[in-house]
Amino acid sequence: MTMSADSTLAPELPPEIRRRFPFSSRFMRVNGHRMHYIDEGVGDPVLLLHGNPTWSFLYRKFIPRIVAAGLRVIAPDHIGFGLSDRPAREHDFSLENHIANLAEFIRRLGLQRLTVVCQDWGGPTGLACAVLNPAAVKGIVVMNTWAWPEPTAFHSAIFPWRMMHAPVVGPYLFQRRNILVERGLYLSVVHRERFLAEALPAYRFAMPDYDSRLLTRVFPRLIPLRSDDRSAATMRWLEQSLRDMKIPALIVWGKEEIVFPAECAQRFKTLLPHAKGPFWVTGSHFLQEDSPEEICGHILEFLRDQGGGRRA
Amino acid sequence: MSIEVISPIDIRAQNARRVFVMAEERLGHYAGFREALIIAFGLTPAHADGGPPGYFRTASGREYEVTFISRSGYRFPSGLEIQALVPGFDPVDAEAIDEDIWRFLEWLIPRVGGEWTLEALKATGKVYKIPWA
Repeated sequence: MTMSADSTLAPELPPEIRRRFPFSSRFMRVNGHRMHYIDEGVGDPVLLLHGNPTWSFLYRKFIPRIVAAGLRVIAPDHIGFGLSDRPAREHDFSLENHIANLAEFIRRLGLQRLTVVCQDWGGPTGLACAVLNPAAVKGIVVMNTWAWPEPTAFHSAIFPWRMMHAPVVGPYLFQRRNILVERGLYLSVVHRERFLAEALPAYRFAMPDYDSRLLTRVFPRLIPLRSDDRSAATMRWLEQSLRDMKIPALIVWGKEEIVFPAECAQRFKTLLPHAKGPFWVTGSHFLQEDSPEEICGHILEFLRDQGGGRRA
Repeated sequence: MSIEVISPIDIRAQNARRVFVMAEERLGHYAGFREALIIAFGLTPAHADGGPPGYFRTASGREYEVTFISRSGYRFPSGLEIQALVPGFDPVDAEAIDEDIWRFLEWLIPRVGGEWTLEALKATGKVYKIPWA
């Protein structure tokens, strides 16, 4: 394992969260920010990328399954999320900075023969890293995400999406009222009672106060709605680059997903015609909470086809 | 009227301290919000160069200061900060402040107008369990 990281003691997660997330926390300083990540197992690396407002906890049920298959799992928290640093200014954040942070993280870990598994904002960031260094990547897995400049109907609508993060409204709803954690997650899973019992405390723990929640409202503003919006040029570059990319791919999608509806899965299939899938699983936007076993089954079968991991 | 824009001489809170409520760094993210605030608070270019903040009072009687921010490369105001004017050393009632700011949003959104409607704000608030929506 190539390591150039600052490994420190895990932060004091409450026991009920640590019990569900029993992995060693590691930290690496990336572009000046302290990034938290999990690094478990030995073998070809699998990079698990979360979105807004979650953190690597989202993959707690993936990690042991993938490790048991003879693979190495790396799950970082994007800067601004989970146990990673929380820069204080909105103007510090851009899609390009997030991509650069992840690219530097991958470079410093020296990852090769990498499989990138991504959902939500893990998509534009992780897929961009695959495009930037295709020689290091042997597979990509896309779930409930996007990689083009055009918004979905959900993202174009005033109610509720654009109203949520509108000027002045956004800081109130996202930061003072923490709506994405307190309500948005709940509305975006299928198995809601299980989510409340098992997962909500961990997401709540990571967003304890106004300042810690800044990125939950900044990320929505980075989704381009018009061709001249910030991020639009990068998303155009990403889509065009993916069109030319021949890396093996797998598409897994939530049957109940409304943020990135079924058309987005089909658009990925058009963009990556060689991809396996889409495979439809029970799941709303945060499908990792709803169908971890089934999704891991698809991922491990895909990886075995690429020559990685043990057959169960 | 649930929100009353007031001048500095109308402030009732005596010996008030300023308590940070929230900040908006990108007023121009969607068109219309910046213009609505310019009209509502009577902002002029002079406000970008040491002019006074804005103030408002809610139906509860609590008062707030609005600091308008200028940033190179962006039209004024590019952002704002809202501070509660809390008398003396009184404790902060965060829930009461949250209700006041919700009322401020209900006052602001119709002033933005167009596709930004009070109905859409209230519907969003209801979905996300804002108690006053």
